[in-house]
Amino acid sequence: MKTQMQDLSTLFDGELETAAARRIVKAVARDAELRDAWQAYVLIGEQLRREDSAATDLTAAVMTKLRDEPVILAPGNVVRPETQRQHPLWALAASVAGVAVVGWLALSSNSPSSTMEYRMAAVPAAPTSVMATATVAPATLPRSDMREYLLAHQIQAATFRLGDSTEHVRTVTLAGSSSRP
Amino acid sequence: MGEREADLILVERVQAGDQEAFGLLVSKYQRKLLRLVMRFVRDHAEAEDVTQEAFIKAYRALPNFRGESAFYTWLYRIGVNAAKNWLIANGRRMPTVSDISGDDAEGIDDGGLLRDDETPERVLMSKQIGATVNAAMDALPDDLRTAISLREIDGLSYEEIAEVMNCPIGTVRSRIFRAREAIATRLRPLLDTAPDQRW
Repeated sequence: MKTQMQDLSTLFDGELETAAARRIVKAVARDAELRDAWQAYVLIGEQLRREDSAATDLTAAVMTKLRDEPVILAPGNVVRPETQRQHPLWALAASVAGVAVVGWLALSSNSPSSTMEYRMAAVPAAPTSVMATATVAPATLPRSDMREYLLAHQIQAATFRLGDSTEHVRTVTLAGSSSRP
Repeated sequence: MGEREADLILVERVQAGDQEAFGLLVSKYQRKLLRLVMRFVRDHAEAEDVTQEAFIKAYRALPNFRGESAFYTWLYRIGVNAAKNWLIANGRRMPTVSDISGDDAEGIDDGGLLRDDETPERVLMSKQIGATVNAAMDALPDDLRTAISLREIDGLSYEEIAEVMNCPIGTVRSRIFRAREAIATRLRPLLDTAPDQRW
């Protein structure tokens, strides 16, 4: 209770953080002692500032009249000043993040190590004039003068990771060869 | 958070269907609004009625309040309009002294007008409340008295008070609360908030 009273006093001065303020205002609805304390705090402040008419208290009369009024339900109507103040910062942060992402994508796509470039570089290395599939055994065998080249190619090709493009890659054979080594 | 933001939290709560939160706003601003209305409506009893009516109108209009202006500025405009409407309805002349508007409501001084119409009982009660608060202030330890004076009379923030008193903000918060509670303890028998007077 003492903590709640102290929170109420701090809220009265406008110095309570928002979450705690919401909690204590909620508590006021079901706690007459908190409401009495609030009234006392108002009165004390007015007396210290030498404001008169302390004997007048219209709160009970107004609240009695309000009992006949329909309950207000319009949540979210208030645009809080700090929310308004945050907008430019969030917009700036979003802009910076956007530029960073676009920049990173642009740089990485230009990089020679990018996957796309890697594929582009790797594919021409294989002779395009000769075709076969990875799953189908070569129907023809290379000439003896080409065997050495193809062997080196296959060894090197096996060290590359071609990712999704592997289904389009075919092992190389040399058309026209008819004899096995 | 400042006082304006604290009011907005109360307004949000009212807009969410909590009438009691409106009671805190009434309690906080009723006498300021009454002083303002008294500038137009010289009769104290009539001024109280107009002030009450202004609060009811404010409550009804609260769904449309979006917080672009401070709550009290908005409320004071409603108070001024209610007072002017009362004058028109009663065939009275509008006061010409610097023509008060809601915008300059903050700077209004009651100028002793209220005292003209107060009953002896009301005057006595006001004096007793004043004397009790002063006596309670005198009885406070120095650090508590300084803290609440800097807040209530000089209007300093907790941060500024902490700087002046050379102590943490948490200590300022605690000192002000303890000062208020000490004064309120002496005031309570005088206020004698009977159950039917509660809201």
